[in-house]
Amino acid sequence: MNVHALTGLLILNLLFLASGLGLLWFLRGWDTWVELGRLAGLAYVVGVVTVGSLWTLLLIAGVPFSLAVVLGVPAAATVGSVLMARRRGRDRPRGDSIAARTSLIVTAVGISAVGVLIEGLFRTARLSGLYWWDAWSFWIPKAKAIYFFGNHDQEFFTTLPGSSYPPLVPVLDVAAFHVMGSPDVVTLHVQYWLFGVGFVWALAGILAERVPAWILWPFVLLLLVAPRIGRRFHITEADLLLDYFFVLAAVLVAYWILDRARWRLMIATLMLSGMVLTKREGLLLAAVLVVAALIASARQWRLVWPSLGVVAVVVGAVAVPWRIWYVGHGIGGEAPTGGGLDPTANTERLWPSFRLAFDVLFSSNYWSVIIPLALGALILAALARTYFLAVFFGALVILVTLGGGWITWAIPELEITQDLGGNPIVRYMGAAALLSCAASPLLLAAAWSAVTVRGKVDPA
Amino acid sequence: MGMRRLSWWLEWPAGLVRVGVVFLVGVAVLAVVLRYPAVLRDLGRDATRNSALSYSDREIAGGNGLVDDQIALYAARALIPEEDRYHVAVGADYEGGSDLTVPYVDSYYRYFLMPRRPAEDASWIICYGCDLETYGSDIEVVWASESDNAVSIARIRQ
Repeated sequence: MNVHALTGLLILNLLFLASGLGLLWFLRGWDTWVELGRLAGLAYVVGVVTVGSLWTLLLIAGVPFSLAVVLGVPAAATVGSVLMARRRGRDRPRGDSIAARTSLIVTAVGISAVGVLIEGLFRTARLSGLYWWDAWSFWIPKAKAIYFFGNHDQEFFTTLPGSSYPPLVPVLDVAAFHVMGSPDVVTLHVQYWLFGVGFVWALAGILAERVPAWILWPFVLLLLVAPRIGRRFHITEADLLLDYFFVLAAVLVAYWILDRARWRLMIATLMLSGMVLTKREGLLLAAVLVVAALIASARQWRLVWPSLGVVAVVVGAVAVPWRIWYVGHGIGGEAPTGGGLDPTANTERLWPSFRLAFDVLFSSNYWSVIIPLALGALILAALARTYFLAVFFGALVILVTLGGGWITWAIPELEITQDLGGNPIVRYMGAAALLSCAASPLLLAAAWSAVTVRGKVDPA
Repeated sequence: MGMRRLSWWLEWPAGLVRVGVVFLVGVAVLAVVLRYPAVLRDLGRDATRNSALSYSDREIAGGNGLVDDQIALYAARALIPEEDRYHVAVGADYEGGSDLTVPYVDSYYRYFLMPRRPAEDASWIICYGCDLETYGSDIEVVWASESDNAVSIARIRQ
């Protein structure tokens, strides 16, 4: 770690932020500076997923991945979105005052407590070695191959483990290597820490629209102290990044169904597109998110389903180029042998596989009390007749968990075990846990609002 | 929220929902309060441990349990030109390192030595208890571990 490397990372991440701020300005506009500050975390993640996806698609198309591309794409995205925002007549954000209320004190306490943890995580990240098996086994070798050879070096990409995994994460690593001046795998942990910080800011920012501070901040902190979530922010693997995109997409889709603000669906589409370029599980998670949205919005299907169909088509189209590349290079597919759809296959594994997924979901060793709290929040939301949110998030958590069981059942090579060396189920189920932690305050706030603010039990 | 009458909390079903929301937020707060100090302590311990590592321990990190000899990694990086190819040959009865060394040490070299490429017919051999005589008489050992010569780097003369 040196000043050059850290300065390079600072510039790269400011470019991510600028891209996202510009895109959100174009898509939704900024009313006030306070609003911009609240959603700056979302803007950062939008910048990461948009720029990362563009880099990935350019790389797949054969464009050499150089420092010029690393700096040029976010710069062009920023300038382009600002110009389009101006052309669309978007005004600059105006000044605003923050009212001195009790919630402001709670927010200040929450931000302070989060800040202390974030600082502790930074101290852990800044000099961490690369201990993570998958990271040195294939994520970082893929990134090094792109860094040294400027492209998808066929020899490395077809022989490394996980060769069918999409390349968004290695591409983000390479961007960091370029701005740091070398493949510095120690300082790279700071980049992943920044992804984590951006996600927490993004999540708190969008939840704060609908969740009062006294409900919001305990859950943001719970996320950070959960053994297998916050403590893993600096780990240079794809799991948490995929989960960040998934959770933000889920919340944005839920908000869009509630208020129909189109920018939310557009940003959710970007997140879903990033998911299918991040890991092969991203396809599954994107699919279950769309299915959960279809289920929860069944009563408004004429208004909602066509747009969800468009989202599915766009995300599918983004997923295609990488699949063409690896199939064209003779790499085995992502689906389990036989497609994993024959219910008569491996029947002896069926029950143990799904039981394993539910065991992991309810393990407090991994997720602390997140899942019992989410279950309680779902029940309260249903009691308060805030049915849409309860059905959407309930269906989504169940579908993600069933997806985890399906993975274990359909891939006979996986052992029925929570051991990371034999089965990725614990890593996969992080998506359900993180989603539960994000959904709980939303469900509780909706229930509280239904019985308190509106003064009666009334459907949301 | 202000002070509320008891009936406000007890009415059905709204009161139950109110009590439930406050209870669940309270459980979340309690979980955070109980875990927060331990998490901070663990983070501080991890940071101290990371900063106390030597440069090589930090750079090799996950490979420390595999490669048996850190110097062999640096020797390979120094001796093998970036455009040359190498092969990691591990004797089946190699007893150094850990249980993970025999099956995975070649993967770690692939990560560590990039942009050098591995190849079966390479002109450089990184030998972990292998039989170098199988490569013929044109092989020259250019580096060997000091302790027991169990790890060596050899070059096949063209």
